[in-house]
Amino acid sequence: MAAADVAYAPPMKSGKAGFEAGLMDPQHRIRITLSSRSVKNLEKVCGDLVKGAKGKDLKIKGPIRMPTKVLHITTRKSPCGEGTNTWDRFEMRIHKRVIDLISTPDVVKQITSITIEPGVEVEVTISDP
Amino acid sequence: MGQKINPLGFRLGTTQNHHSFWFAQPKNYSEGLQEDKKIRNCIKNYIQKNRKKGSNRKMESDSSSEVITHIEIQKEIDTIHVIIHIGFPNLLKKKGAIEELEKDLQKEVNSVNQRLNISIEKVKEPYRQPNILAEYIAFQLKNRVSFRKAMKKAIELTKKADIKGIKIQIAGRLAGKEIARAECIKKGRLPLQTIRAKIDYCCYPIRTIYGVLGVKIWIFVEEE
Repeated sequence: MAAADVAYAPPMKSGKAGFEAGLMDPQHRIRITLSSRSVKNLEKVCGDLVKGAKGKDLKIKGPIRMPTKVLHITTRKSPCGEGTNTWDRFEMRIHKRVIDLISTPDVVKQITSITIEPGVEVEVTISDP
Repeated sequence: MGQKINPLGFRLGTTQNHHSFWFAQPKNYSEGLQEDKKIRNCIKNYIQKNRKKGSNRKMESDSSSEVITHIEIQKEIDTIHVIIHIGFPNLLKKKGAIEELEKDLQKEVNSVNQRLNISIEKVKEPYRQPNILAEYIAFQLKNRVSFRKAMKKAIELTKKADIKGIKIQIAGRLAGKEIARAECIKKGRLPLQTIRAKIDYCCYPIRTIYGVLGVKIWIFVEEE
């Protein structure tokens, strides 16, 4: 009956126990882009960020690996035009990872200030939901 | 015989590390590179200036003057870390030296946001570094020592340090002769084709009154 329906529970809360839905500061969608030339350092920073975010119970979309960009420079080896035409092929590989978080900007600043490795560039973009 | 590739460049991925370790998007890469070049030049000029000041009084034997092995530069968002690896850090241990260097560098680099952080590391075994040996040979040659003796003395210096192989090559107008040639002395093994072999290399030009002599030194430090 109508009375029974009204007395029923309000709509489902989001999954975690003891979590109050969005009554605190507005949650933003935060995208962290990490780029680097060395995979080891990059993966380390990724892992640290994911751990830090999970420790604070944030909703996180794990490291998404973008395709590596390979920049080529091809030059003649010879300083003059003589000789068999030999070429040097130099390349620079740029690796890129993307991590999406949903949280307040202050928490993100905390996390990103902890892990800083040389040779890894961190870019954070905040978009209001 | 063919051309030999620079053993440092050959091993960059594995046994050799980059001296400048930072990342920049391709758009901004050239600015970063120019900054690096300015920093390195500035440091070298500073040391040469101070060496001239010091040696006005007496001819110091070069085994106690400083030679820069390499300069590492790491850039983060707000700081530039410059690590200078030096053989015998005498001059730079005086009090005002590092601050003077910092001031000079700040002027050159013109950085608004970035702080400079200079640190000096002493190289553990100086006679294992080809740069230091090259400077030693240069000093000997300026004092009109016969070049073969100079090479042999340099090799003797390395006997104390743990080295598995060394090769020194000097090319140019040796002993002022009109016809230039190249002489080389080898000791031990030097597996240039083995990538996992750690080989240190340095190419150092020496200016004499007869022209330029090129000194190339290969040092096989250890395997793997």
